[in-house]
Amino acid sequence: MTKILVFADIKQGELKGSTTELLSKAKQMGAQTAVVAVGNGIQELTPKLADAGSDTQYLADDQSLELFSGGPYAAAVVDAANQFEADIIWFGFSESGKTLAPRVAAQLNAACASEITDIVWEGDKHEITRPAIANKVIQRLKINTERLVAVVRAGAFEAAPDISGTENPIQLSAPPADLKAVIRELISEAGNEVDLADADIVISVGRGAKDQAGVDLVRELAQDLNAGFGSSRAMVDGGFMAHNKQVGQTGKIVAPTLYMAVGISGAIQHLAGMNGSKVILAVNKDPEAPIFNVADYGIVGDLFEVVPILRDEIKALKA
Amino acid sequence: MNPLFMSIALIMGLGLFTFTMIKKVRLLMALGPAARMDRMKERFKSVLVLAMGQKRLVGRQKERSSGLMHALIFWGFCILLIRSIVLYGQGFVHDFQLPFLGEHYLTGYIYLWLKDIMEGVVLIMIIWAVLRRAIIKPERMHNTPEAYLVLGMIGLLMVSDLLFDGARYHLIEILGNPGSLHFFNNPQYGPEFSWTPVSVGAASLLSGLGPESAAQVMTFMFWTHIITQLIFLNLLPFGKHFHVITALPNVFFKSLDYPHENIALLDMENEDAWEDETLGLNHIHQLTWKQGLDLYTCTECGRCKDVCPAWVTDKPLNLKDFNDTLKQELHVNADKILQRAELTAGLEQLSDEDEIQSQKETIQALSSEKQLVGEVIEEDTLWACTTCRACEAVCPVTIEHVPRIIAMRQGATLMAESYPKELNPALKGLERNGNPWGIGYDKRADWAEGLDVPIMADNPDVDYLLWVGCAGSFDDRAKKVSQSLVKILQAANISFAILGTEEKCTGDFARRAGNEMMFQMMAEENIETLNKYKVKKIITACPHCLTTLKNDYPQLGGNFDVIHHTQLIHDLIKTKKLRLKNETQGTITYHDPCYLGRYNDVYDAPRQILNTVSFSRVSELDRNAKESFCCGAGGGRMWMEETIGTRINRERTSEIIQNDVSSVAVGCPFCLTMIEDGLKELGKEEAVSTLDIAELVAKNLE
Repeated sequence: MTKILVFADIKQGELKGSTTELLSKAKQMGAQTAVVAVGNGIQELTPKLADAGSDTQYLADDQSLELFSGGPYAAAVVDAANQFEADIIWFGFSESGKTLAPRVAAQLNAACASEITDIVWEGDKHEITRPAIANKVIQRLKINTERLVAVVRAGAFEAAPDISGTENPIQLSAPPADLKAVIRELISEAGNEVDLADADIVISVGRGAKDQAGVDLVRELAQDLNAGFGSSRAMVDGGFMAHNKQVGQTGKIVAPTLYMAVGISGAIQHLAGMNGSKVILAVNKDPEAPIFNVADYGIVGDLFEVVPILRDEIKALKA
Repeated sequence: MNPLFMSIALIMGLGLFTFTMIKKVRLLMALGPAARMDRMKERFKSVLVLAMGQKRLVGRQKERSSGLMHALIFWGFCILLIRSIVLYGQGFVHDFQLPFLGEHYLTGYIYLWLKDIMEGVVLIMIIWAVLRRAIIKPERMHNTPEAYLVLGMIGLLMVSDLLFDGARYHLIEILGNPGSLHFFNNPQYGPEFSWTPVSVGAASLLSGLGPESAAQVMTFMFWTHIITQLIFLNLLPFGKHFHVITALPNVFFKSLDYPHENIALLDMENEDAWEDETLGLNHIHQLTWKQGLDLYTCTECGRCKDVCPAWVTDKPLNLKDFNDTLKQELHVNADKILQRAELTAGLEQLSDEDEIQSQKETIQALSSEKQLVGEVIEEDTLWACTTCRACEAVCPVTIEHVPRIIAMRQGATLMAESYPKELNPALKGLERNGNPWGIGYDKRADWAEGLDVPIMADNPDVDYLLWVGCAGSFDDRAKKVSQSLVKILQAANISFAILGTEEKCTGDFARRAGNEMMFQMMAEENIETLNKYKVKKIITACPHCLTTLKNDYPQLGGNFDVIHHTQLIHDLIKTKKLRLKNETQGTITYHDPCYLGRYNDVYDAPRQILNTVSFSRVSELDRNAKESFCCGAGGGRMWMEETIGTRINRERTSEIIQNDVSSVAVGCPFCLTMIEDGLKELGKEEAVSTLDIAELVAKNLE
């Protein structure tokens, strides 16, 4: 029976949805599942980790692991992989996953694949699928090593509702500190707001908002949906938004599940920063606005009328 | 006067000067090569027009007063030089004269008259120059003591010569023409006094002097003139007034390729260059001798920064200081550069591998301590340039700023991977999808759907290739321009086709941002495609594509006849193949794209088209044609953030709004974006519409 170890993506004490998705897939494949969680005070997450679909939970819980650091975190994952005798080690598509995967693969002498979208058992080998050459082709790769380390593309697998695991926590000893680099502090650029790069939903505001009141109105909508709040260049130039919130060619390039462009006409410089989004919804009073060419859903109307209605509807849905 | 004293003065003055000049020239010769010895006729012509004729000083309306002042001082100085030679001769021989300038020739009298008048004129100009510097204080200039010293010395040269003549005339008058005093007198032309009103005026100032004092004044003024001139000559090489000596050669050796020096083609396959980190311009010794001469010649007049879009909008790029900083760096490293050149030349004589290796290491160690980018010139300064070349259009001594800036960008990008990171998505887009936005290359021809536009692959026998460009293919706004152009070409029955999905970005912005590697990749692929279809003639609506295809691709073996769409449309109107209504209402102004105007000398065609389709004539912007102001998108700036100072497009748009027009015509997709954005920002997009010339023409098709 294949053994799949999933790295638990934990951010600010919360288990991220991607971990559940990966574990669900592992269960559906009929694999034996385990999860490895690294951090400080993560002990209490054990029930949640089991619920997500893991049958064994390797926990590296130590004060020294408070902040993410490539060396020690990778050491913990390698330790868990060896104890579990894992065949496959999966990481979610996050900064930590992308940092750890090559390190872990090198230490385990395993193959390493990035951004995989599927995995199947072919004959006696695993075969993975991944996009290549800027999504222009789909690559299928047969893995010749015994072990495989893979980063799974965001949203490639879906969380199954009926999956669960059993609580079986195993403590890992704290890995030695990294001698090469010590992470002293992490300073979030986003402050208290949702990080644009991480957000599932991104709402951006454009020239249509006119002034600070308009920007604040759209910001409230973003807060209602716990969405990342971005902007077109016009609003940054106008001084209404910080430059690190600019979505576009020369700003942030985002690809969330849902992108809402509010009052943005959709100049090509902006489109270049968001056209990889899964679903695009546009609100603009000009039916000719180019944003509607790329939008999956469009609302033609003044954002000052549309946004309050949207907020009311969302509130009603939540309640 | 005194042959011994004159000999000592000349030997000392000229000896010291020769010594200084040998040092200066040796330093230039130790720098890199530049081929500037061809096309002699054109070179002499540019010296005649630009240097002797002072074209960029008197020819520019905006700087005409100061330009005329400089030109008059220059011309006066040149005329006086002949007189000075006569005086040197008279130091040895009492009545020395140059051929045709003696008292028997009319030319001698005319020269005296001219010299006399010009001395007066130069004096007035000097007074004006001093007052201008001291009181008006034009912002573009540094007000240095050197400037006053030099003005004072030129003034002294004039005054001493006038008073020398004045004292001589006075003596002749009171002594009644003694044989010992030589002066011109001719039965036909009269005495020289009647030709020289200014000197006669000077004589009247001395009217109270007795013969002895007058003789003393005359001798004193003679030597003052000689000694001042020799000191002046020796001071010149040490400051910005070195241009008095270097401007003529600098103009002589200027690049003759239109419009300016092209970017040097780097050999990307040269492994040694990668190994030794010599690609681009990273250290001061990598300048070419011509670039060194440019630095010697910069007069710090500041005309460049006055017209520079980066400087005008408060970016840190100040071209004259840029030059000065590099000049200091050149002088600091002069000894190393000379040693380096000597050792490099010696390498060829060595055959032993170990010796060669050790000599190479010694040479490497002789590089300047500082990297040019980051340590000598700030990064923000270097990347502020839009490569618009307004600076080069106005520089009176033809300094080539932009190729040097691009070479420095090449060094930073290729050798240090140090470039604005915002460029990355655009470069990645180029690499993967052949366009800076990274949109799928398969969508490149979508704009032409339903327009019945032939594709080259199906119709290789057409007359013209329509090169659409990335903006015209992907940007919704610029697509409308492409569609209008197709309508025009079809109306005029032009046989044309597009490359469709085979077209790729020309690599313009990559090259001007210093990424020569990416540029050559794009260029080679495009040239291969174009040659495959045996393309000869290309039309394009994008001046950046135009310049790259026409001026850059020949460096890589791509030779095509490339024209801008406005040139073709203008031709079609002239030959009556295109009939247009004259119905466009309101006033129109025209914004000259830098890459169409200054880079390709196309100024008239767009204007004449506008005059054809519009009721009213083109209302010119204050900064137009050769001195047009950039929109801010050139040189890769389209793909970078503009966070310092105010936005260039805003500055330009304000100018357009002040002109009180109802539409602004452009001929470049990047200008279109920049100006339209600027109008939106200023809330004037309804009042002033931005249109490509092709759109205006398509609307007026009969």
